[in-house]
Amino acid sequence: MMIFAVGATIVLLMVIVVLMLVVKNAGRLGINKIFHRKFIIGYLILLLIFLIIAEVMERNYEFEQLSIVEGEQYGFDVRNAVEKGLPIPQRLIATKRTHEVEENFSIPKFPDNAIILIERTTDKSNLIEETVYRPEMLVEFGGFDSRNYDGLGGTYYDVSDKIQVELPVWDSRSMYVPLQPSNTIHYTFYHDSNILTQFSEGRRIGYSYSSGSMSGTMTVHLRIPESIELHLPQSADEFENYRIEIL
Amino acid sequence: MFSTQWSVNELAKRQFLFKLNGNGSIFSVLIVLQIIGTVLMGGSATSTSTSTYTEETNILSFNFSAISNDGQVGLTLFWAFIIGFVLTSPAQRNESFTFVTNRLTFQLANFYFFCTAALFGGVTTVLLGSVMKIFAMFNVNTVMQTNGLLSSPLDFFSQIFVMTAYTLLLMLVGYTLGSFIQFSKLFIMLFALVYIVFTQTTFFTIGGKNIDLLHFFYGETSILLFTLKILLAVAVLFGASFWVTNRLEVRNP
Repeated sequence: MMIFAVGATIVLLMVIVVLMLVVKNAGRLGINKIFHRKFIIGYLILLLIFLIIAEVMERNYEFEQLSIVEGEQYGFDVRNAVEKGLPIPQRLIATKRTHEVEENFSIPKFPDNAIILIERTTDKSNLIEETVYRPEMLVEFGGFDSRNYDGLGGTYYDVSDKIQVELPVWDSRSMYVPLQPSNTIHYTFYHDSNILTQFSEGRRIGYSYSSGSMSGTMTVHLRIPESIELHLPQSADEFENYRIEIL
Repeated sequence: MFSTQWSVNELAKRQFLFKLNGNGSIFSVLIVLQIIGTVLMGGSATSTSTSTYTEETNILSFNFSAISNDGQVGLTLFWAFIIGFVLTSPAQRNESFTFVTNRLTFQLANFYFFCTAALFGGVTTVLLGSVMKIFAMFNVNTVMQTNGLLSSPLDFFSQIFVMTAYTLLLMLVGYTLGSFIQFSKLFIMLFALVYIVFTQTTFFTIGGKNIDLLHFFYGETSILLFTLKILLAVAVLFGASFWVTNRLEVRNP
């Protein structure tokens, strides 16, 4: 860090000296007034062409349309909502399926990257209703990092639908949750300088600090009729048992 | 006895036009700085990466890139300060004696020149945002957090206004400091001391935060009040430099 600070200071001083020398000796450098005039006009025309190109590209380019959410809405409690029958945001639902199974149905052990909530229904049928909820993922842009935090956040984007989810695999006697794939989320944000947007609609105050966070894990809600005999894995590990919960 | 009587404003305007013609290099320097800055910063972006791991696999990784015209804004403000300073040099001051002029017209011509240079800096910096925008559009999953000229013309022109105002302010700060230093080199020590005291001590702090002079302008949300503040600061700085320049020797041979 020290080397950078010293280096940056030296470079800055050199730039100041060069700048002052160029301005002072411009006449002696043999560059005439007409050259400067043409250079300035040419530059302005070039910038205007770039402005037109950017405007045209902006109209034809397919930008990522991310929905902006309030930061405090992050961290929806799916388990609680399922248990109490509360409405669950559509964006968190990965799929809803129905499976016909035999009278004996088992759920073997699976990697610890999902939670299964089982609800027994009084129906007498061989149909299991399955709803898969994806984890919630939020991206914050333009917020303050922990070193500069003073309570103001940036813009929060919901990118839950970008998470790749490997759905449970079913047959007539069992189901299991496969290992979930790795996810790489990559975004490029363009914003005008904070100083320039002082009186703009979308005024930014924070730094160009971005962070992403994922809340919860994949949750599988199963509505299993009481007529189906259920075999669940038994484990001495309390935490492992927690992965499958009968409501 | 002259056959033509020139008004102060007319004289200042003529002197300003001569100044504009003679100082084309000042604008060329800004252009070169902006081009170098854009080429160097065009492909770069502020990147943030975070990853969440479990025992079995790398579950999730985030990669973010942020592109903006912050660099160009910084370069233009830096240029403004230096140019303001350079225009107080003895060479620039003596140049005015080639015209039929006085201190007032000299200062007015300088002020007109600053306004023109600030407008040039403001317009080119905001327009350079388009170049950075084009760079951003060649990246992956671009999220545009700003509106263009056609979708939000008011925003666009407010950006030019703000940038012009800050550039003018920085130029006048440089000009005033330069004027004081031309008056007496002892001011270098004084300004250095003021800078150190202001930045390195806790004397100017309230509630653990520095009293940020920039916040006086940057924290303003009303464009009318902002304009008033800028005008007030410009008037104070210009008045101070005018007062000092009037006390300088007429011309060193």
